[in-house]
Amino acid sequence: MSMNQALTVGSVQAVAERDGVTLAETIMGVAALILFDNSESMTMPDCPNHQERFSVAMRELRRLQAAIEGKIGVVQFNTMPTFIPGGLPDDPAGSTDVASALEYVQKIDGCGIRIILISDGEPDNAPLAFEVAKRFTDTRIETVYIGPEGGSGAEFLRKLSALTGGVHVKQNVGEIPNLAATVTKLLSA
Amino acid sequence: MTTQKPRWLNVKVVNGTYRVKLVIKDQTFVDELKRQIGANNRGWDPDTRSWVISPWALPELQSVIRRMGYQMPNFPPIRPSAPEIEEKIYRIDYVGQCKEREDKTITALGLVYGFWSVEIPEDVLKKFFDKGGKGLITDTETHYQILGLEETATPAEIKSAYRKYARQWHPDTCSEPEAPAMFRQINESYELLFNPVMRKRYDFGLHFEREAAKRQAKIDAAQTAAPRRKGRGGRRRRQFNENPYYRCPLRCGLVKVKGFQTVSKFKVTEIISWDDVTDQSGHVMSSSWEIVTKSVKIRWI
Repeated sequence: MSMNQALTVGSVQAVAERDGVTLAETIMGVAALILFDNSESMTMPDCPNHQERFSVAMRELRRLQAAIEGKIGVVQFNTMPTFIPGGLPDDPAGSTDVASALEYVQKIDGCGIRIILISDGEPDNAPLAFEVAKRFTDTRIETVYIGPEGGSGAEFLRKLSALTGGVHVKQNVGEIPNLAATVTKLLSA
Repeated sequence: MTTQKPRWLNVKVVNGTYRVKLVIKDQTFVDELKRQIGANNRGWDPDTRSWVISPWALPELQSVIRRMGYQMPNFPPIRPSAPEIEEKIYRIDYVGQCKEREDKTITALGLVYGFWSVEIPEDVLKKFFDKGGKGLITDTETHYQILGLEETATPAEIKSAYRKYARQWHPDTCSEPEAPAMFRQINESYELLFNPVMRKRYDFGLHFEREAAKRQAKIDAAQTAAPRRKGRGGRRRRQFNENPYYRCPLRCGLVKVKGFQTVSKFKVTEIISWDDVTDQSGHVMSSSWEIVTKSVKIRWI
């Protein structure tokens, strides 16, 4: 798997470099962490014009960070979670370990930073993911489903956000091009 | 024909070192002595007005004497011994900037009762003061490091460190040019770390900053060519002057150290503690370098 080291406008890394402050200080100022699913299933070309879910979602992620500079931290997850300071996840690979991703960001609980989980599929271990989600006492986990109409992953994500009092949004494959607007709405809610 | 009368000097053995005293002042001899014998092996004793030379440097000393046309004195044998590590407490009135010395080591000198008699290597200072460092981020300084704190510091420890550093760097008491900027930075670090929510956010930021550094290291390792991007967007390490070496964040203190005595200085190998120096009425010592008088000014606050 190739690691993406591109830097998108408005990413925490780009803002840190622009402002000459540390990455840690820039991350302090984020409003939300996006847990972005980049598992294998994101390569499905079922978006309008046969585009892959991943490439459409990536474009939206880029737009989102450019619109609200320095306010979005990106964590990609598949078999393993990874923080992506440049804001653009690696090429899709592996499975969907939601539990590990939530554990990875658990330290932010109580910091006032929101978590928005964007995924298209079923997790490797749903009960474990629910267990980890219950450990968040002060943070709502919002979920955005990006997948086919009637896909089973949507129900899992709905339950996950309900556990923490978060909002669940369904974004069918045809609506992925509106992802940036959806996340912005979630943030202003 | 005139023959040059051989010049002579006195040599005594005191505390396992040679004390060399010139009968007549000879700056050329002194310059040659300094050139041939490294600072580790020579010192000046102002009380007896003689040069203190380590027995390790006897061959170099004899060579200087021969070359400068002095009569070779009798050197009583001394068996040089390995330096013995000992623990000492010094009241250091001022710690200077780290500089590269004659022997290529980078050290700072500590002023003790008017003499620069304590030498602290740069890495020893860094090890003591850069407690927050985990060795991953090399070009940035965390707010913990600015206050010389561990990342596990309690609120009481944060407050105490703030007081210590703020007292040292308050522009009203410190006359060094970087004092206002340092004081601002100390205040900023204190305000951030003393606020529990801000501190939690910052800790999380640090955690992710290190994660990012690990990822970058993996990317760099995977690339055969030179890494494409290097910087991690960090603020440069505190550096207010042209000197590229470390500047000790505290200027004075009651310092407990481990190290060994050389002929000229006590060489520190480890700093154990660094406390305030207080007088009988509870005032704390603060010192700074006066640019105009080129001397250390001590104030009691």
